[in-house]
Amino acid sequence: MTSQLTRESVYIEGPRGRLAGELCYSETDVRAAVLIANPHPLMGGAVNNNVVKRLALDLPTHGCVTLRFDYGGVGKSGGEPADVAENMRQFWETGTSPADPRMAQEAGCAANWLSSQFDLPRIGIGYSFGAYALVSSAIGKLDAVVMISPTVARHDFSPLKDAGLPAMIIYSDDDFATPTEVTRQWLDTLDPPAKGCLLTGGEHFYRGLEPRVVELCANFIDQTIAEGSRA
Amino acid sequence: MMKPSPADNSCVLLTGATGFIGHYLLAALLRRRVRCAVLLRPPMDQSTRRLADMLDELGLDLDEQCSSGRVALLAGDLVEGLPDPNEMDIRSVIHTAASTRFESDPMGEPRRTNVAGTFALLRWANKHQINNLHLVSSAYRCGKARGEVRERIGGKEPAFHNPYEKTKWQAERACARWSKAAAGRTLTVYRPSVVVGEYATGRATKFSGFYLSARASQMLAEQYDRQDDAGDRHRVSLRVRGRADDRQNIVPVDYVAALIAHGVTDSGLHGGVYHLTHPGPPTNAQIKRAIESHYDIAGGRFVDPVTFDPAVMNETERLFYEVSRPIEHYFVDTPVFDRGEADRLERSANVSCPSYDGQALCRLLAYAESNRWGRGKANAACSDRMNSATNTEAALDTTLYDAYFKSFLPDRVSRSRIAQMTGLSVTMRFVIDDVPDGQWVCRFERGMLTAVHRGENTLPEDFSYRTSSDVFWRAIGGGVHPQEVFLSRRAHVTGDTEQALKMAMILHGFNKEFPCDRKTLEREGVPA
Repeated sequence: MTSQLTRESVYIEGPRGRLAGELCYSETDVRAAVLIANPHPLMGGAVNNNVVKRLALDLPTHGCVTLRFDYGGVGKSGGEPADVAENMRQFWETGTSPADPRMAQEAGCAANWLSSQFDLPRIGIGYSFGAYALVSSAIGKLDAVVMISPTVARHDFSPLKDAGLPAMIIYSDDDFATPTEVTRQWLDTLDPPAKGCLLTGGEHFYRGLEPRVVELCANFIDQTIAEGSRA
Repeated sequence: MMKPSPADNSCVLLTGATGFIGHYLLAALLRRRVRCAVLLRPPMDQSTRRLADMLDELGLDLDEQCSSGRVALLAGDLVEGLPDPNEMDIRSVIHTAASTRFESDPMGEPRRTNVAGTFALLRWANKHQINNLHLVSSAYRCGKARGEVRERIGGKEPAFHNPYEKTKWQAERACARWSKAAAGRTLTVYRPSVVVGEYATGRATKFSGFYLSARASQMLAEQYDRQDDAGDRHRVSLRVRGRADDRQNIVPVDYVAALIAHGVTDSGLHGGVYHLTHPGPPTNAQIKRAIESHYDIAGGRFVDPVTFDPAVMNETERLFYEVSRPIEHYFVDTPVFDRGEADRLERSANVSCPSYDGQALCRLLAYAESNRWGRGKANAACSDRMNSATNTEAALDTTLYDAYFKSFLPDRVSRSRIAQMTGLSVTMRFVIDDVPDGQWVCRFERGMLTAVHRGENTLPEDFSYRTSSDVFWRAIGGGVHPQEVFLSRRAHVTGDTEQALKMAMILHGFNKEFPCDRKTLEREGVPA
């Protein structure tokens, strides 16, 4: 299957320069367009993140075209790289940085770009900070969302409730960013209800559990497409 | 008596032979002409070389012992896999292998070696029908139990001071169950207290436990030296949480090894439990006097643990406790050990525990200091090693790691923009798996590197990184991002993961600011 995978570099206009992204797709049977939003760059958020990369490369075998991209100033994306020293002072204390709103905007740009390229159901998968980025700036351009370890204890996820989209939340035990119980309680407040999947041993980073994350996402996408076609 | 004749090919299996007690015990067994199969962890060339060096210091030639058939080397790991004995006639196992790490680490120590390793060894003994087990446990498996600690197995599980004590208790319990599970099995348990260097010379290969308070005192003395204080004797303002007349139960390693070797070779002593503890251990006051005299400091005073207020510690006290905290309870909880069986063992072996006066204590300190607390002898020797084409990469590396942590890092951090701007206060441990004694703890205060210690059981860390030497060198050269190696499972974090990952970002920035490689360290030299 891997041999049929096409990887195409793309550039997307963003608020502080061009964002470098990569499309991955298989030539046949493309049924959904998936936007993957990275974790925070100060916490390993880049296109080569273990979860992001696995999703981008494996979901095409389940009939998806995937787009992953680096936020401005990261990797090959334009814009000044974040000053680690300056940003880290705030990030160390709060888990947020001054660049967060701009990165969320960039996720919105990537969602717009994906919509303009494919006339397919659009699924957003946001991982950690990326979940917040999608919810805050891209939710209106998506048909369904998957959130992996959303940082609900640190960021505002209220736009998800207003959007009323099909959603799945993948979360883990021993998550430094959001305690499991906090995620559970937040899940209970969602309407329409979201599907919750707890991955034991995930510890926020899902090291070694990447195939399970892909499997859960693929099943959710299948189900979303099937329900969409019935509607 | 188990006296091997020329026709007798039976032997004992010894685990932990390259450990502190283990290599003394091996030497004692060989001197009693006991044939030993020695379990060594692969890679065999490194383990064999290490064992040969250790025995050489005790006056034994490993090559000669192997060629004469008195020693057979077996490649294996307690947890990863024990070897088949093949043609060897192993009759007994002496289990000394142990992790002496007090706190749990990301690789699962001390539980991995002390509990899982013991279980694996018992399964192996079952499989090969070996029914005679000698377990080297610890007197401190009694945890926080009060009253006289008896020389018997079992009883209610006590509370413990640390995971180490618990794992030793669990290992004993597992062995006791094993011994009762089938007829004909014999378990002999040796419980040493705090094992310190050889009595006559102070020689040791491990400097945790008792040595930590001495190490802390040396650091206090060094501080005064740096300040070039003109006083005759440096006075420190140090309250020590403990009672002057409480005792620290230390025993010399050669005494412990002699008694175990005798216990192994005299079948009349099998099946017992022996407290290899000191019948008249030195008091806290005696030890304090010896340390103060050795480091030319004064002013430490004991404060009753009940009235000691840790909230009002001064800088001196904070430094002392940071280093000695893992053994703090030894100043306070000083159990009394029953020694009836140990007395019997001593009489049979005609060995008695030597007493510790000031001189004997100072010998321990002097050796530890000359050995740089386990980092090897003098600088000149290190430089020689660096220049010697015949030396191994590993030895070279060991020196270079110290050069990195103790010289390069403090120097560059003081000039680093990223360190100064972030201004963090944090303590982190680096564990490099394939480097002997490859642990360094770095303490940063407001962005400045204020302390670096090598070895386990030193400063308590907020978090630790564990990786291989290969990844370490690539990371400090700026070639690989520490976060990336964590996410790809080439490094492991324990403690506060979030802080560790954030710090990884800062370290990467630092590594880019000041990339480092072996050549740089060789050029800049090795720290004092």
